[in-house]
Amino acid sequence: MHIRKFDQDYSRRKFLEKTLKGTASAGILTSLWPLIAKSDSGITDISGAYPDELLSIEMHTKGKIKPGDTITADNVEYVEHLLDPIAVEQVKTLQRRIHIVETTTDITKMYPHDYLEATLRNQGKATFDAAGNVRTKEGGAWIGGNPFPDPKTPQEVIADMTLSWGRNDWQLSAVRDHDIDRNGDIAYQYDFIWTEFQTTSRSDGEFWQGRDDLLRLNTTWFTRPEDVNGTSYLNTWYYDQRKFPDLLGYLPAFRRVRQFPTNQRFEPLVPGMVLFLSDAWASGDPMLTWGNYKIVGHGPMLGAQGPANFMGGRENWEKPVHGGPKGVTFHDVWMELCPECITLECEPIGYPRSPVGKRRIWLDVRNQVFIASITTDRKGEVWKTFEPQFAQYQNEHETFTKAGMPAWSWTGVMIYDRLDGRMTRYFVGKRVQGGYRTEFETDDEWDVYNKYLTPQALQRLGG
Amino acid sequence: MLNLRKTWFWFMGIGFGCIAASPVLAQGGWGDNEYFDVSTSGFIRIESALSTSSKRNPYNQIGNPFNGVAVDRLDLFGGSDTYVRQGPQQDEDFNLSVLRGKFDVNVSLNRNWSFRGELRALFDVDLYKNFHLNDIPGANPLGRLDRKPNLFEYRVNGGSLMSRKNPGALEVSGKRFMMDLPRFYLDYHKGPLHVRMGNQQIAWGQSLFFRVMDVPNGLDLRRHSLLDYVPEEFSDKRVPSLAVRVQYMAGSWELDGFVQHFRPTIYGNPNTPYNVIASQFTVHDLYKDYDDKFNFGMRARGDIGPIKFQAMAARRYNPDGTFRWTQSGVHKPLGPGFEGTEGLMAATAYEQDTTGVHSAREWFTFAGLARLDGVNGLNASIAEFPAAQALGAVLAPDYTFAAQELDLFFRLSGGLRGHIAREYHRESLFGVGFGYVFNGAPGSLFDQLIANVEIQYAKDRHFTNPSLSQYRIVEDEAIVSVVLEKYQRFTPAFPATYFVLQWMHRTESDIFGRHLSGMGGSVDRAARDASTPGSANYIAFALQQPFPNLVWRLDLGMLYDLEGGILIQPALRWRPGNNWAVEAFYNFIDGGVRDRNPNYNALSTTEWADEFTLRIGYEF
Repeated sequence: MHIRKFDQDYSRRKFLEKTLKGTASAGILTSLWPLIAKSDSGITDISGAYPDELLSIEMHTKGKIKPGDTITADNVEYVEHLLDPIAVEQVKTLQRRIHIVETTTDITKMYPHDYLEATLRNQGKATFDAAGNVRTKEGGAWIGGNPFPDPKTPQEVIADMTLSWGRNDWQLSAVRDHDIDRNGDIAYQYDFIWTEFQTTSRSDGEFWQGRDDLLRLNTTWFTRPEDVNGTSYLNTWYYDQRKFPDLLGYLPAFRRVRQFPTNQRFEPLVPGMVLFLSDAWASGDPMLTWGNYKIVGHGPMLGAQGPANFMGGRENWEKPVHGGPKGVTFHDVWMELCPECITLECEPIGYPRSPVGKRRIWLDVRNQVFIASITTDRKGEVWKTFEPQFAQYQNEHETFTKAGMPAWSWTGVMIYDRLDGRMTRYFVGKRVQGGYRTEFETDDEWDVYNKYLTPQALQRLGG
Repeated sequence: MLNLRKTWFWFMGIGFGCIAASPVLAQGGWGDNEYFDVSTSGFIRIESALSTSSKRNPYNQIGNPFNGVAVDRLDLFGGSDTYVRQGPQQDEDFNLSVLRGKFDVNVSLNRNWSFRGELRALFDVDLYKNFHLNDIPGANPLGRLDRKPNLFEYRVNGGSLMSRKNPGALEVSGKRFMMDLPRFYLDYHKGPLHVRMGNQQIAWGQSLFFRVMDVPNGLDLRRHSLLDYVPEEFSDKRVPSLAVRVQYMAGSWELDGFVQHFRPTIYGNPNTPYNVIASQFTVHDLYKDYDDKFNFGMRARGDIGPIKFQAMAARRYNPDGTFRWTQSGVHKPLGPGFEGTEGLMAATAYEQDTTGVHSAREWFTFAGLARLDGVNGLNASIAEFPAAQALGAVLAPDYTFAAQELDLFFRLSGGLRGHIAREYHRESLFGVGFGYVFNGAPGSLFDQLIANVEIQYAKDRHFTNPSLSQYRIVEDEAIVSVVLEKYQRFTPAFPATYFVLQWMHRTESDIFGRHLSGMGGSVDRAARDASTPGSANYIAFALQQPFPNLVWRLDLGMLYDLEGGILIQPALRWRPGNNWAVEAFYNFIDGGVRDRNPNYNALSTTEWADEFTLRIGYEF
């Protein structure tokens, strides 16, 4: 129990102060990361860094909302300030519901275990070079974990988000997508596989095959329906964030792997899908191709961060859906009060004709992942939201492991185009068409590389 | 020697075994294999092409421009008459009306092995007003394909003339239907090694439509010829073939090699909608003598600094083959009153029949259309066939003499069909390609502009002699393409537009592989009297403009032959959702863009084929 001087106004004052100063550490009562770093209990509890009203939704809303409740149009007014504006609109007008759960205070449930270890091991070792790329103090490429676990500048925030998207050195996500039209009908359904392979910024501290000129390899391929079956893309990300990735693609129509231009990243990948390449992880483009980064706020938010968002025990981990005109527009999500989030704004300065005017990202300082992101169009009108769900892959029904520990990753995403009324929602399934299964570990990275991340692999995956 | 038939059976057995056994395997021990999976998909589609032109396909009997037209004939001895070719004159509303189905099965067997099978099936609903032999009085040509239109069967000769065999392995076809397995292979993958064994297409190169590095497969033109939906390039056209393809990643370099059963380009049959070989010819396709041949090729691809580099070498039989006069083997007299000449006629390249050529004007017109030489062609059919000389034919020194000699024989015979043999020849190919990505200022012309240059050098390429002589033209040929492609976003309201601009230069032949010395013939001039182009040059331009959400996409494809022909295809793709897929496109072809003989350019060959095509498909 904390003494009463740490009331809601106290938190608000502290957050305002942080935003104005622009250099404050995460944490209200004490700095968050030193607290985590010195813990040797095996359970790294962050509750000492925040007053109760930032760890308890019940206290925060003065008893109006408590864990187990569901946010609907009838009670959204009490948490309106904790949601992005599109989520509020969805609850008010599209029958969206949000389940509320307790705040996660055990930090180990918010990271892959090796990534958290790397973050702790390497804290304080990161800096920026003259070009704006993250380097170790010795000038090398980054060696794993969040380079800036306690980010104080907008550049540090975006670097944490960009350098390791999924926080796993390798992961393969078997994804099932549904695209809902403005009438609320499921108009398109796709199965695709999204795989990321870090060559640098790896939790094992290695540079894979010595490739410190690269950041990651990222292959996406579709397996359903027939129209797109075999369509696959290999993005090779350079470590230098000023450079566009190389893009190789296998289109079934061409029956071969060809190189494609990669500067247009604001196009749907397939018909009906609202997702742009640029949207991925709210940092889908090399970070130095965007600019005018600004931290515009600090404060608590509701975010889908907890294990309740893992659907272990359900068929293929499929998420329940609800809402919208036909009751299928939204994933059921379980949100918790995230005690401290950084609000970051940025602009696509490297894309002069981009349809996006600005992106606003809410980043949970506990693990430096975004819990919501919205974009505005060039006229400044709020356009799209990109809302992820993260979880440790463990519940009372199932534990999905990585190296013997519960895995941690994203479990689903909702992308809503409010101007067009279209929703793209997809979840990480156990397995999708083609027999591809979600995986986070391998005993043979060379095999994984050859299997999914080479031009030859595209040819084989494409058929 | 490898027994191909036995090999096919093995592959088919394994493949079908995979499919048939998959439910059992899934429930038994294989089902416990975490990698085992069976997935299926497919579509069913209606494809219809509505002709928008009053022109008919001239290569077919019903489209012959001389049908019903009075033509004066003047022979060497001063005899003359006016002849009207007897043949049906009917307009075609639909060039294409087929129901197409595709069924895909993908079986992941274990960590390293998988199987892929694709069944393709087409059924023609026969709205094309087929040619009926009885519409031409006295018509009785030898050869099944020339008697009744046959959309899909591919018949070949070899060994002895008129022996027959359907060479389409893993294919069953009939007059109005075909079913084949264009993909039917086992994949083995381990580390950097990938081996694909079975019926497959192999495509190489960055150029689109310009087949510079894309050399492994011939094309199957039975299904909408080359006038299909441009954004699909040749995916439905490359002739699949039994092959073993091995790919190996050596660091960032990709090594790729194949051994492949040789299969030729397949042309449309006589009197079918997109036939391009004049139906006054009877083709003896001698592929049977080559169906135990193999092609070989290898390619390396990787980066040299900022340059994307590829190099290839192949030793193959050119799938296009060459054509030459051949003995008809048909025992018919030269014409009425010439009984007793059956033996001699069988030893010439001609067959008396009313479906043949009837006048010198028709002869020279079709020689021009086929990029052949009317005078040299006549002379080769005389010089290389003593029986023709025994029938009184003599070499023609010039166009006038040739025309009068032709009219003499046409008047005497009542129509002559030409018999030609198709043969295949080995050639060595070498190629290199260079690619570079420009990185200009954001939004500028050079922002992510991709440039590629590809060069093919063919050693000892055989070309059909425009005289159809057995002495083919053998020359080395170089083919060069330059490809520029980029995305450009013009407005935030629309996704970026994708542009491709290509140029191709060929030193010896046109885009269809016809030797340039056959260009420029016409009704009143043999090709040898025309000015042969020194090279063939083509410019292709394509763009794709998706609409927001990609539900609609506008495509535009254009191919321009610098000798004066153009093909333009605007297309609209619609993906309304719920598994429906619609494509609509229009082919506009003009073979006379420049004020000169259209037989100088390649595209006039299909000038008659202006048409609107609609495809409506449902995927499952």
